[in-house]
Amino acid sequence: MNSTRAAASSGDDVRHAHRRRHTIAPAGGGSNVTLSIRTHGLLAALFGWRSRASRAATWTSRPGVSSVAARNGRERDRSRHRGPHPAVRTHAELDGLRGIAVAAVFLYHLKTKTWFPGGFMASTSSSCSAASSSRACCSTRHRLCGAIAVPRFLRRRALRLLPAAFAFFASTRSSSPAPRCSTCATTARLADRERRLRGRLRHQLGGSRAPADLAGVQPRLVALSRGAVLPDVAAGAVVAVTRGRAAGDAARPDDRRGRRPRPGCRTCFATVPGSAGTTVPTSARTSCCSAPRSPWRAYRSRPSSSSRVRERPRGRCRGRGDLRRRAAPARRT
Amino acid sequence: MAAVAGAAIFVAVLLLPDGHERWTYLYGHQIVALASAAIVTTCAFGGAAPSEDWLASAPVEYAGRRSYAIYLWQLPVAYWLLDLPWQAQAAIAVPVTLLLAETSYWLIERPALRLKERLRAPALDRGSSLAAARA
Repeated sequence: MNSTRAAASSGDDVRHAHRRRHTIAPAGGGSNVTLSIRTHGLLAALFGWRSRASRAATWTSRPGVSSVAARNGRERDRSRHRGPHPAVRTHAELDGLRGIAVAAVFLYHLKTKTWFPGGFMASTSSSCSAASSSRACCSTRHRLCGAIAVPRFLRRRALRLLPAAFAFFASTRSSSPAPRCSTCATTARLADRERRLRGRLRHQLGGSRAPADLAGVQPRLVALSRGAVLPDVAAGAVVAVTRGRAAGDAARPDDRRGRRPRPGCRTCFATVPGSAGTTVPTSARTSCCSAPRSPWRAYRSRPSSSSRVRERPRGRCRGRGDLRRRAAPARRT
Repeated sequence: MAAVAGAAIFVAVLLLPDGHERWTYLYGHQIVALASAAIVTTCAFGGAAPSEDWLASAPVEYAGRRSYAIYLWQLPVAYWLLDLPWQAQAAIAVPVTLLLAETSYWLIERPALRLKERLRAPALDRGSSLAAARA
């Protein structure tokens, strides 16, 4: 026990030296990030831009930094350590391996795909090198501190990966307009949202299929979309909406469960005119695309007499097979 | 030696399979992972001079430092130019991607990394007490 204490106390020098190197702002409440933002400003914290005044205000508070270097603003490079801990052996070759891997992936995504058919697998190698470097950092940290702070590790990984990813997603999403159907002007995103809502409604209603004609149900649908819990669903009584099939409904291509959805607009099923091998069912065209733009209004324009609502004293939905079994008699009516 | 063998296997596997097939996912990724592990191990233990030389060379290391940004940005750029012939696509996509990656690196990644360095170091007392408790 004595020997371990001795080892711990001798290790303390190393630890505190390392802590001194890591500490930027004077000790106090809050994290280092908020402290340094408070003392140096946001721009300084992000980009290292320091005004002459802030340098002059802070250089005296650093022991161990020569006054000339401090006045020139070089003390920030010395006092704050960048990159991994100095005890971690870094290898430029790992960066090189990552560079090769990313070049392979880039080549794969260019049109040279046929020359370089396995390029996408290089991402595996990239993650290998990333894993090995983070393992090196972790084991060094463990050697120095006796423990690894997992939340700190995860926070640092997130700060490495997420900002660029968020910026990327935000810019690509905003720069690419949502594909809009030329016939009914519904965006694909809107159609997706509507389809999700319909799925939720169908689930809560107890498995009735009724995909297109929800004439009497639209207020409930709107309420569901706002996150409401419908009282009859909560009470356990399940309302099923079924309807007689209109003559043209068989032509609606997305209507039958299990069938692959057709290309084209998901609301009105119209495809781009002139594209080969696709036909627009006339019933779909007349039923949906003559209707106003909103898909909700498309439902409202359908005759409500074709649907009837009946109460079913059944429990909750028990999954897909249940849906299909219950849907079968509805199809015959 | 291991690095050279690993690099050879790496390149061979990248060239061999025919895209997204069963073989690729069953064995290809594993072989690539083992090959790159061989390269990493050789680099870590300081052997293999020839591979180190070119893997640590300036342009390769440059691509490696910006690898994440390049990895993010190459796909939309490449797909944006998919209608062009491949020479034109490559001639436009490579500089555009490098430019976007450089922008992302300096404006987003480096500030984030600076914030990362400013995160408080873990509580050292707790670490030493853990070590003492373990002993």
